[in-house]
Amino acid sequence: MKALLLKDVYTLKFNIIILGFMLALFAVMNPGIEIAINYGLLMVSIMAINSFSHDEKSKWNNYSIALPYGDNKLVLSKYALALALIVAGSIAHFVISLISLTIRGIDINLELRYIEVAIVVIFSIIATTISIPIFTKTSNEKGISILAIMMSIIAVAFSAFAEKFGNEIIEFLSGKYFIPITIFALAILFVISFNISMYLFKQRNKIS
Amino acid sequence: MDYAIEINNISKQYKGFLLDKINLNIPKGSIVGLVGENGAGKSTLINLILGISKPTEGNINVLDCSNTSKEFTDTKQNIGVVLDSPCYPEAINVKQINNIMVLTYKNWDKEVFFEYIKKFKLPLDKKFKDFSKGMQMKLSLAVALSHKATLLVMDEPTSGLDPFAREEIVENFIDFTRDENNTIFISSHIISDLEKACDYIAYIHNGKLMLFEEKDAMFEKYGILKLSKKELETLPEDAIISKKENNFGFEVFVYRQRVNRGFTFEHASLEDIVINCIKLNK
Repeated sequence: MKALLLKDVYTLKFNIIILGFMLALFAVMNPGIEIAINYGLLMVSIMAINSFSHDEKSKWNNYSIALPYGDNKLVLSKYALALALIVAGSIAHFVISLISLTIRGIDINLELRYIEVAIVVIFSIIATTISIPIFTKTSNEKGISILAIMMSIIAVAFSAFAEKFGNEIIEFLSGKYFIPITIFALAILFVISFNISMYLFKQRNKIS
Repeated sequence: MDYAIEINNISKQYKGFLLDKINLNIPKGSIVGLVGENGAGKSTLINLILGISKPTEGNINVLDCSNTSKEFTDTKQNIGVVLDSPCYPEAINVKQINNIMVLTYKNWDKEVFFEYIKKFKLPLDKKFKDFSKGMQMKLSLAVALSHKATLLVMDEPTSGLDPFAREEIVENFIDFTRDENNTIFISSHIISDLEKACDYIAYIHNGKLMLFEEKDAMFEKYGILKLSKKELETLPEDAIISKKENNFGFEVFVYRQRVNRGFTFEHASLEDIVINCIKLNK
């Protein structure tokens, strides 16, 4: 699996550098750019789906099946890449936020920063568990459309939910069960997503 | 006889195409060329062998391992693969491919790889997308030859290459099979390349395997006669596969053994044989 991750890192190196540069730029920009930084982290996290488009374009998809990786590792490597990007993006986000606040002379509220990163990480993981099965199944243009529709539905549902249960959500976020319940829920989501991706991967090879 | 690849009754159905019950055994230590027109099913068969696509029915064993078993992942360590089109990400270079393959193949030999890179005159830092088609094929071949594979499976590795590059690549195939345990299964529509290297020829037409014979046996079986109209009339009907009239008389493609004694045969090239087999089947 290390080989597959290394291949994806080489492939996405340019995209990662550009996005890192943009995030750094946001850090020294005017107030009100927190949304842009959060958006940047989300983009880093779902950058794994870019690797699907590179694989398809270069026909690596077919070639990699003929190499000694195995179906499990081919699918799992995309999740590992996404997680690695989420971790790297979170660290970058945290550091950039601190730099940004320091430059602008704003009080660094660490607890708030943690919550901010946690929320974007949760969104990124949800986006990953939805996007990887979609891109395993379908071509990129189609995949981007399906992903956009699904993320919009989730965003609308989340907004409606937050509007109705706003106070309860804040209580939950600051409660002691938030972290274990969230980790458990995300782990379940990951397992379900991985199994769907494996099924779709095998189906794709069956009909190709 | 030991076989490197055993294809048993394999079928694959697509919309508008059927690869129909192919049975083919590739002897270990041989070079087997797969020929056929575009769309005949060559790439489909190669994809089925490598497990890239799954058959509608039948089974394939590669190096004594079923290609649908879990163990096949390990068996792939011994298979070198060259597909018909470039298959490395555009942004990566030769050094990076080496780094990836070190982690992919247990027997990856970095020194052998860079020897091939030097031999093929490939740049180390240039991105794959900036390589010519010939350079891309040579890089694929260098990868396939650098992990001590005992079987090479290649789909049109010489297509799009100039004659010099093709000659160089064919020489490498011959070098590879100097070790009698090594086997090559290669598809190509450039029949002259196969004539130089192959021991056996398989001919596929409209998804059906029409012919699988030893190359030398084919040369003994078929021949060309240049005859006058009078001489042509003395030939038995069942000896004639095809005939062509020209300014000097007739050029007749025949089964050698069905022709009466006294005629002098001209050598039929592999290309002549395959083209006439295609005509026969049409």
